[in-house]
Amino acid sequence: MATTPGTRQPWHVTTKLVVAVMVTLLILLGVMLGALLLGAPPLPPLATALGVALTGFVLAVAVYVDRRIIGPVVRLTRAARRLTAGNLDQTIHVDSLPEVNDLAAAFNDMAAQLREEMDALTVERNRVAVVLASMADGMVIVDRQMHVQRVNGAACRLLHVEEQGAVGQTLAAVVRDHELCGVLQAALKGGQPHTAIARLAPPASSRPGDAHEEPRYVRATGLPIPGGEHAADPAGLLVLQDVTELRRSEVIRREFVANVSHELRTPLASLKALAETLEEGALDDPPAAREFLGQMHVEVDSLAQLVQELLDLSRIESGQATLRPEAVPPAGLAMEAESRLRMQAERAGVVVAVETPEALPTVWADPLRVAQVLINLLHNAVKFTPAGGRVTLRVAPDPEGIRFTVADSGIGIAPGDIARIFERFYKVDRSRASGGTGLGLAIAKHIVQAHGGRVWAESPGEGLGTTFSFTLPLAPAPVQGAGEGGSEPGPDKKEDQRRVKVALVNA
Amino acid sequence: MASYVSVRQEFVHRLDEVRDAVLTLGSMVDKAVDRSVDALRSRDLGLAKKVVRDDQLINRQRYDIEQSALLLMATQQPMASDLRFLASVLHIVTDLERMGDHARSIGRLTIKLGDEPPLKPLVDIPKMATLCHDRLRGALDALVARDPELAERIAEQDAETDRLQDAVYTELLGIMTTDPSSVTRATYLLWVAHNLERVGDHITNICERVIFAVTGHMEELNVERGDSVSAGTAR
Ligand SMILES: Nc1ncnc2c1ncn2[C@@H]1O[C@H](COP(=O)(O)OP(=O)(O)OP(=O)(O)O)[C@@H](O)[C@H]1O
Ligand SMILES: [Mg+2]
Repeated sequence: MATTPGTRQPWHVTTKLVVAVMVTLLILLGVMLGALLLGAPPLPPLATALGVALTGFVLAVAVYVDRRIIGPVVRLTRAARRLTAGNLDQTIHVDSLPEVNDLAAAFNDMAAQLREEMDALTVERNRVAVVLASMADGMVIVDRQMHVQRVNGAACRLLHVEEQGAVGQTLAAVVRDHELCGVLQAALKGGQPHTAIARLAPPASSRPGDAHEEPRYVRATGLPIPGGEHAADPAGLLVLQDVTELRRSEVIRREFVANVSHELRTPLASLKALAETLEEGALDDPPAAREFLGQMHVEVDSLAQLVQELLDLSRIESGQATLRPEAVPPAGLAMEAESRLRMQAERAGVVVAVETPEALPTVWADPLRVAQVLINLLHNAVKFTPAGGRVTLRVAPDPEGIRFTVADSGIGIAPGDIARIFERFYKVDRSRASGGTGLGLAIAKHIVQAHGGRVWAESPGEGLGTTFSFTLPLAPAPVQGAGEGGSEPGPDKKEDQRRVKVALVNA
Repeated sequence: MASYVSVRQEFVHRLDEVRDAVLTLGSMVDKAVDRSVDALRSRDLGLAKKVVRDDQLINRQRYDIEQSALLLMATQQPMASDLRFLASVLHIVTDLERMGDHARSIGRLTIKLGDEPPLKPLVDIPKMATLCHDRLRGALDALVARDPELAERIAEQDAETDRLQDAVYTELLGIMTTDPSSVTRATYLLWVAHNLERVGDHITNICERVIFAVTGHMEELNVERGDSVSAGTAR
């Protein structure tokens, strides 16, 4: 029964009814008592009976009204309130006056409708959330007061913030970059999209004063979100597109062109100077002329080498070069490369040692190409190691197959440069007359990758030596199955060739 | 009652706006310092000129913040903690503006160095700059999070700036004594290091102000410096 209504109004109605009944009873009692006290003759039994019946009737009416009308209305009211509070599972059954029953039916319809709409909204919201989360671009949505409403994972990674910490904070407090905030502010002010390229501040390094990570560049676009007047309505969207890689390859391309021209110009200029000197009379001095001719040969050779290297590189890069892989003993590759570099090393006063274990499984490689890689690495090691230094070429088993390591005790490479030395034309010290073009490592990297291996460099720092390593996959075991050393059966030859092709195309 | 709540809300919103303006100024200064050293390292005179030019924007932003902070103080009868915050803002923007001035000085020095051959690859000076960036970020984080302990930690890292500056001094003095032709260039670099050291001091001041804003205590964190070569009186 509706004796403990949770809300104020029904209480009132019920209380009033009860009070009314009580008052009626009290008046009746009062009249009866008064009559008794005043010595009036006792009421006729009929009148008493009538009074009691009347009281009973009033009580009955009260109970009826409470059960059939007030109770259902109270329940409807409570259900409506629960509905407003967000609990949509409200269906109500009442047995009351037809009007109230209609009201309840209408209420049930409304609740059902609301449920449907909310379900649709939830589906929609989940869809948006999934889209936001899976986007590669960073997204930040702000409300009218520039508080962050939503921020997706990509934005969190770019801005080095966490979603929980960011939502509810102002954009300026989250982004900490006035130029980036300015992009969105400009868009909101102008009412149209606004775009700018921004360099993001790197996150603070873990130890104060340590070098930062490479800064990242983003293309930031601010978009106004139309509609909505409340402070809490979404007002703007900031899209952050990571363009670091794009920028880097642009820079590399620009440098590439500049470098090619530079590398071509230097030998061409000296050729021209030599030719002019000959023309201007050196021809009449045969010993000098012969010397000049010799120098011209050197320059032409270096030009030819440059062109050859460029051709190699572009063929490998475009996937046109085909590897002719076969099963090769890795130790043999190492010995061969060392013997070809021995003369040069001796001249430079550098000792080259080869360390290989006795029995190693064969690698699946193109011996000519791998020789090119090894010679490049050894050549560099000798070139960048002062006289008296030491170069060690090691061959060892590796989870990825076989690992070749060329370690030197030379000038080392600074951490900032080590990531870049595999780029075409990259030379750490341009002024040093190292006589190279900076293509050796780029070619080596492509060859190793075409084999399905990895190549990397490590150096504890400048002056502390450098170690280059690369891996090659093992050769498939011989088909007869009589493989010594229990090497696992590798992929059959056909499949392997296809894999090499793929690697070449991806390189 | 309801109107008190909304007045208070409005005021808190204004305080947030002031804080965001401080963060904006912080970002401007941070980039100025970073770019000035970048310009020095890569001998990018265009960038150096931009740093010098943009210092005006920093000054204007500081002035604007000062205005709005004073306006809030005068018209809104802030509570004690808000008043401390606003008073700290007035100091913090001054420190930030000074830091901007140091960035401008570095820009000018870079322009003066022009394309004279580099004396040596810069190592410790860029380190000082990254340290300044990290510490400024930390100091502003402390302001946002109202975290006095973080502020204190950041303040302590100033010792590292001083150590780096001493390293730069020793190295450059060595170069100057062996190669007299390097004196001008080395002197410019000494000035750059000095400017960065001052930037570090200002960050320490900001930390002090953050601690004051949150706790109401004013601590002198800028101590133990007297005898180093870099001795400069903390303002
Ligand atoms: N062992 C090493 N020690 C120190 N620096 C090295 C070493 N190997 C390579 N480098 C650095 O990496 C740069 C790139 O090497 P890479 O072999 O690509 O070019 P290069 O040797 O200069 O010219 P090229 O090989 O085309 O004749 C070198 O210029 C050098 O600065
Ligand atoms: Mg080489």
